[in-house]
This record gives sequence, structure tokens and C-alpha cells, in this order.
Amino acid sequence: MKIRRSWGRRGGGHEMTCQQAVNHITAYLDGALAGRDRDKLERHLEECPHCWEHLKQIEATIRVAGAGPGDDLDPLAREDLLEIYRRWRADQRPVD
Amino acid sequence: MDRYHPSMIRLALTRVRSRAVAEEVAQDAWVGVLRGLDTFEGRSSLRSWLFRIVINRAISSGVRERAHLPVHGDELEHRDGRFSQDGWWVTPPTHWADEVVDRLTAPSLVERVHEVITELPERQAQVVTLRDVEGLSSAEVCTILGISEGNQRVLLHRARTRIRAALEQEVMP
Repeated sequence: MKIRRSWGRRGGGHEMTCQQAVNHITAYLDGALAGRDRDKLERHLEECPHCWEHLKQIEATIRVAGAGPGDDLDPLAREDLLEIYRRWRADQRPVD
Repeated sequence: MDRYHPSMIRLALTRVRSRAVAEEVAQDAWVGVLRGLDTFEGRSSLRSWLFRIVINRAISSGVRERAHLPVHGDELEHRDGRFSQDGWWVTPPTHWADEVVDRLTAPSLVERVHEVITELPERQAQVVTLRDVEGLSSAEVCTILGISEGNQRVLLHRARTRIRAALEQEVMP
């Protein structure tokens, strides 16, 4: 998306205030913002570099949160879990 | 097991503070899973079911160990109250999103985000952990936590707002 105009209180993008735009960001990213609100927000984002940056920051935040940690299961924890599983399997066996 | 256990510990940590207790909760949840396997009807995904058990076990683990650090949180939230009364930016955001994306793999950023998550109010921490760390859909998260879609979105919004502010401090000290 290109920022076409410098930020100011003018143009169609300012049917929505910056604060309203920021408040709608989560619904927008979830695809849960519909109809007029969505149109107004998109126009606002096209015209307001600050809210556009805010959107990019939220997207960056989501990416960092999902970026890690690539944690492996600690061997002791794995052994404990396997033990739980073994005991469960033993209990499952039909008694002869 | 390898795939879910670390996630389960992380989720438990949104309720209990110590890692040892979180590990116990996760382990206990597996016991519950095995016991309940017969009754699992496959109506929800296995993952949703696992996570719901973790939440329930964490709650019933008794002592609410988690101590929030509200001062820190409030301070972060205020940093985002950057609008005038008529709703325009008073302090527009400085530009750092691109820089964060460039440094995406920097362990310090990732660690900081996870630290902030543990400082969030419990519900916010649970929603953001499930949505953004684990990558679950909003519908799944609503089922696991038993909350409405609207409520889920408010919690997610607040959590992301605080994490965003913390990242900003990290990138633009």
C-alpha cells in the first residue's frame, strides 16, 4: 500500500480518527472488520503514515511473538512423560 | 508430545509463576488426556482439547502463584495513550517496524516479548500466547478459553498493544 498524501486532517481517510483506526486494527487483521468500517480504515491507512506505521509495528509484534522459542523437550521431561504413558498402557491391558 | 509439551508449559506459565509448577501442570494434563482419551469425541481438535485441559489444571493447581507487575504494565499502556481528545496522534509513532522485521531472529527481541507476555494479566497472556505464539485461530482460542469472540479480540488487542510498546522500548531505547 502506498502512502499517497502527507498526514493531515483532510481527505476521505479522515472520516475515521487515528485513535479509532488503531482500535480497529486487531479486528481488521482478523478479517473481522466489515463493510463501511473496513473501507474507512483502509482509506485512513492509505493516507495516514502514522497509523500505517502502527499497523506495521503490530504485524512485526505478531511475528516476533511467533518467532520462537524453538524449544526442544528436555530429556528428563520426556522420560517422565514416557513413564506416564507406559503406566497408562499397562493399565489399559486387559486382565487375563 | 515433542510438539505440544513445550507449548503446554508456556500456556501454564500464564497462570502459575514458577517453571517447576508449570511443568507439573503440563505433565498432569497429559495424565488427564490419557484418562480422558476414551471420552474424546473429536469434536474439537486434539490441540484445543489439550490446551483446555492445561488451562483447567493450571486453575485447579490451587495457589495462584502468578504475581503481576502492574506498574510496568500500566506504564507501557500509558505510552500508547498517545492521542489527543479528538482522537489524533499527539506523539506519532517513531518508525521502527522495518528494523524489527530485519532483526526478527534476534534472540533478545524474542526473549523480551516472552518476558512481557508473562507480565500481562492472565487472560491477556493466555490469548496472546495461543494466538500469536502458538498460531491458533480466534475460533479455537474462544473454545479453549470459553470466551466470546469480541472478548477475545479485546484481550488480544490489549496484549499486543503492550508488547508493541515494550518492543519499541527495546528497539528505540
